[in-house]
Order: sequence, then structure tokens, then C-alpha cells
Amino acid sequence: MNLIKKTFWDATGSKVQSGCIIAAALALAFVPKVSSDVYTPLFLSWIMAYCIMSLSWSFFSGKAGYVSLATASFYGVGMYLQAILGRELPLWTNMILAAAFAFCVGIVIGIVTLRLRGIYFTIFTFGLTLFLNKFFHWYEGTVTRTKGRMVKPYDNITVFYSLLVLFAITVIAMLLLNKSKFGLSLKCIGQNEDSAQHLGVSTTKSKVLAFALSAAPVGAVGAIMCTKAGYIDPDTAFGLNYSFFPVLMAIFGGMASTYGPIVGSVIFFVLQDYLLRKPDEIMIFGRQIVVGDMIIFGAVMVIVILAMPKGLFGTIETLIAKRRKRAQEVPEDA
Amino acid sequence: MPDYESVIQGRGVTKRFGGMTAVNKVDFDLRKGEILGLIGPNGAGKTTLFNCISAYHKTDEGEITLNGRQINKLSPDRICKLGLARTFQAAQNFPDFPVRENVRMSALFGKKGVSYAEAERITDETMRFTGMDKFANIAVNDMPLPLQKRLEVTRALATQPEALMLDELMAGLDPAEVDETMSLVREIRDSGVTVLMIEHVMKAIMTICDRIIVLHHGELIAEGAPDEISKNPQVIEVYLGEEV
Ligand SMILES: Nc1ncnc2c1ncn2[C@@H]1O[C@H](COP(=O)(O)OP(=O)(O)O)[C@@H](O)[C@H]1O
Ligand SMILES: [Mg+2]
Repeated sequence: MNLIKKTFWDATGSKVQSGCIIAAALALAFVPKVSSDVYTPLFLSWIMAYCIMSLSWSFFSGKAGYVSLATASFYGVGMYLQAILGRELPLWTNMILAAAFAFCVGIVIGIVTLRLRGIYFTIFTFGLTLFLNKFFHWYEGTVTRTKGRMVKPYDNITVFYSLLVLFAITVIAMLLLNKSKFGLSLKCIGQNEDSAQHLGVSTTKSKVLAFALSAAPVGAVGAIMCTKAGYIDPDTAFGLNYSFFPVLMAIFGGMASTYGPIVGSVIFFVLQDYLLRKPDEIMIFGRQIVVGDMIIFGAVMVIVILAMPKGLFGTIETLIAKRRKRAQEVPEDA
Repeated sequence: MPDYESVIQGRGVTKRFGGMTAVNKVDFDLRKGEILGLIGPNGAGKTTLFNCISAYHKTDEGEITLNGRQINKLSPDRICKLGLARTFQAAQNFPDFPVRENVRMSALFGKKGVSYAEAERITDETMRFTGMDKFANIAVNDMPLPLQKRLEVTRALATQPEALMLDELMAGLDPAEVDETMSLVREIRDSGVTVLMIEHVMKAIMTICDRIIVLHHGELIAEGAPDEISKNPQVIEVYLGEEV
């Protein structure tokens, strides 16, 4: 109990924040008990899945300034691991294995690519996802002579609680790591890598480790969500949206704090889900046009990103800070 | 046996960019406790030599040692941890951090196994030493150039180096600021840190350096005490009429 208390204190540095996190986790934990439909837990599962992925992405890319598009690679690796081992091993074992496996892939890719800077790193990680997709296509086509795989299904509730546990672990771990020397080293790298290295930051070590650490939760998410797919093939597992969405969500919500990507993921997912369900017809220049999800969605994204460079959460934080400052200044003037 | 102890020693140090040899077979010694000046016209290869020493560039040929240990195959962070710090000609700071946090990062990462408490103490001491303590909470990019340069030195010092390399610390400063910087460099040396400095301000170089080495087209053309250097015909020719 004391250890838990201390962990929370170290992670958040405030009772209010710790309280909010615990309250949110408990509230979530009760949702399946009170909701009567089977859809809600699955819906929340997807939100949590994206929260974990965008949190992981911003842990490395947001701080170190290396835009990774490898999220889908780690997600797909996790999916395939579950698809292959799902009938032999329980889900929680596969989550750990998938995380470990994604971590190892992250180490290898990190060592190979993190000497590359800027856009080259981004392109390489993008290529990695394409490569894995093609590789699995080739493998299934010539070696196993199958097309995709059937997956052992799990019920929504199991999936929900698995993600909730993973989500909680990820948030706490990120909060702790953000405050550690390791987290600081990433922030230094993001601001000025040469300077950081000349002042003693082992940049390569930090980057590779952070990249691999950011891969682990994504692998576990892949293993869990796989069970809801029923059937997977290389295109479902290594879908490029799994790389793009977490990036957009993190930017949308703001990357400066741990809560930004969470806020971003929630709003982003709800919005795109809503728009996907309700394609409305509107009139433009006298023609009837079906405005599918992505047009409105893209417009909203562009506007938010242009208007709020710090993201939603970052902007709100700045506003609150300003207001507080003003509130403090007023009595002095009077 | 020489009658001095070398902190940094370079032998046949060579760096090429494509077909151009920026530093050509340079031999030098940085002696313990001295202020060594490195001068030469623009493009002579001074910064490149610094970059070779701090491993910002990979040295093509030759050997550089720090206290007898070869360093030209190590990474910059290892070299920093071994006790060699540098500044950059154009200040390289962490723009999102205020001044003090910039310095604290150096204190925290500059040496192996520094605790948070130690880092706080080193940060405060170093900032007081260079006079940056008055600007602790300022955003770095809001500071005028002289302060940015001073911060650059403070950050390097907070890594607790044994030797410090300063690249054109005084460029762009007015005479009063040059004087302040000169006394800061002297204090740094007096605190036990060996200094290697690139400088164009001749008055400063000639006053505070114990010895001077001169680079021209990547080659070492002269070495000696300030008064020897100022009388050296080759150096005078290179600086062509400029008062040395
Ligand atoms: N990264 C680089 N790539 C290519 N050429 C360079 C690089 N850095 C320096 N040079 C060249 O090497 C020569 C020496 O430059 P530098 O060491 O900066 O001179 P100094 O500091 O003495 O003014 C110049 O001709 C410069 O153009
Ligand atoms: Mg230079």
C-alpha cells in the first residue's frame, strides 16, 4: 500500500492528480457492470487502445523530436503473435510476450535507424510497416500457403479489462519516466541533440531505449485487439492508420504533458467514430455531396492544429496559467 | 621528457571534407593549467579542430589523447564524462528550458552518477561563479547575445570539466564585455580548469594566453608565447597588416 502511495506521489507530485487518475480508473472499471449493452465496453476499449498508442508514440517521438511511423509495425507484430499463440497461451501471457517482442524489434530498429535524423528516420519507419506488410504477405503466400489467420475470440469484457490494466500501467510508467533522468535526457535530445550529447547525454542509448520502450505497450495492444478481429491478414495487422492516428491524436491533444495525448485520443476517436456512422448529405454549389467522415474530420484536424500549435490540452493549460497569473496580479495592483 | 604535463595531446590530426583538407597533420599539446590560444584567419580550420577533439567530427587521421587516453574514437558524451567540455561558436542551448534548467542538465548528465541533490548544488555554484544566478528563470532565447554566450560557458562548466574549449566567446561583444569575459576566463583557469580558446580579439588573446598556436589553411604555422607569436613573420604575413 505504501509502495503504491509512493509510486503515485512520485509519478504525479500531487494528491489531486493522483486522485483524478484513481477515480478515472475506478469509474472506467465499473462501466461494464452498469452498462447493459455489449457495445459500450468495446467502444471504450478502442479509445483506450488509441490512448495507449498515442501516449507511447509521444513518449518517444514527442519528446525526442523523431517522428516515428512505426506504430503500425509494433501493433501488427502484437496482432500476429496473438494470432499464432492465441490458442496455446492465455491472453495475459501473450500481452507480455507481445510487449517483449515489440520491445526487441524496437531495439533492433532503433540501433539501425536512430543514427538517421529528421525526415530520414520518419521515412524509414514508414517503410518498415510497408515492409512487414509485404513480408507477411510473402510468407503466407509461399511458406504457410494460407491467407491470413483465424483468431481465437475473446469477449468484450475481457478485452476491456485487459486494456484498462495496460492503460493504467502505461500512464503510471510514462509519468514516472517523464520525471526520471532518462525522460529528461529525451527532452534535451528533442531540443538540441548535439548540445545534449556534448553535455554528457548518451543520446544513442537514450533514443534506442525510449523507442523500444514506446513499442512495448503498442505490441500488447495489438495482441489484445487481435482477439476482436476474428480473422486477421497482413493488411489488417499492419494498417497504416495505426501509424498515422496516434500521431494525429497526440498532436491534436498536445504532447507537452502526458494528458494531452489522452485528451486528443478520446476526442479524436469519438469524433471520427461519429462521423463515420453519420455521413450527411449537404449541398455545395447546387450539387448533393455525401460528406463522408474524413472530409469534415480532416477539416477539423487542420483547423485545430493551425489554431492551437500546442494542442488542445496544451492550449487549455496555457489559458489556465494565464488566468491564474492575472488573478494573482490583480490584488497587487489594487 | 617534456617539463610539462599534457591534458590533451594531438598528433597528426587530419580532417578532410570531400577533397578539402580542413585540418592537416596538426600536432598540439594542451598543458595542464594553462590558457592556450588558437588563432588563425577565418576558415583556417580552428572550429574543425575543436570538432575533432570533441568528436563532433570523426578525425580522419592522427590521434588525440586526453590524459594519455585515446579519445578520437569515442562519442562526444563519453568525452564530456571524461572531463573535456566545450562551447559552440553559435550558442547551442535548450530553448524550452529556462536558464537554470539548462545549467542543471549539464550538472546532471556531465558526469557519471550525479544525484539530483548534487546536481542542484553544482548548478547553483556554477551559476554564481559565472554570474548567471541573476538570470535563473529567464527564457534563454530572450537573452541578449553576451548573456547567451555566458550561459554557454556556464553550461560547459557545470559538467565539471578538467579542460574547457571555448570557441569565439568574445566575438560580437563590446570592449567592456570583452574585459568581463577575459576576467571570467582567468577565473576559470585559476579554479583549476585548463583552457583552450579560439579567439579573434587579439588584445584578449595576447593578454590572457600563456601560449598561442596558429592555424592557417588547416596547418599549424606557429607556436609559442604571445610576444613570440606577435613577432613571427609568417603570422604577421597571414594576418596581413592586421595589428598582432
Ligand atoms: N561540416 C563541414 N562540411 C564541409 N566543410 C566544412 C565543414 N565545417 C567546416 N568546413 C570547412 O572547413 C574549413 C575550416 O572551417 P572552420 O574550421 O569553421 O574555420 P574557422 O573556425 O577557423 O573559421 C572551411 O573552409 C569550411 O568551409
Ligand atoms: Mg570557427
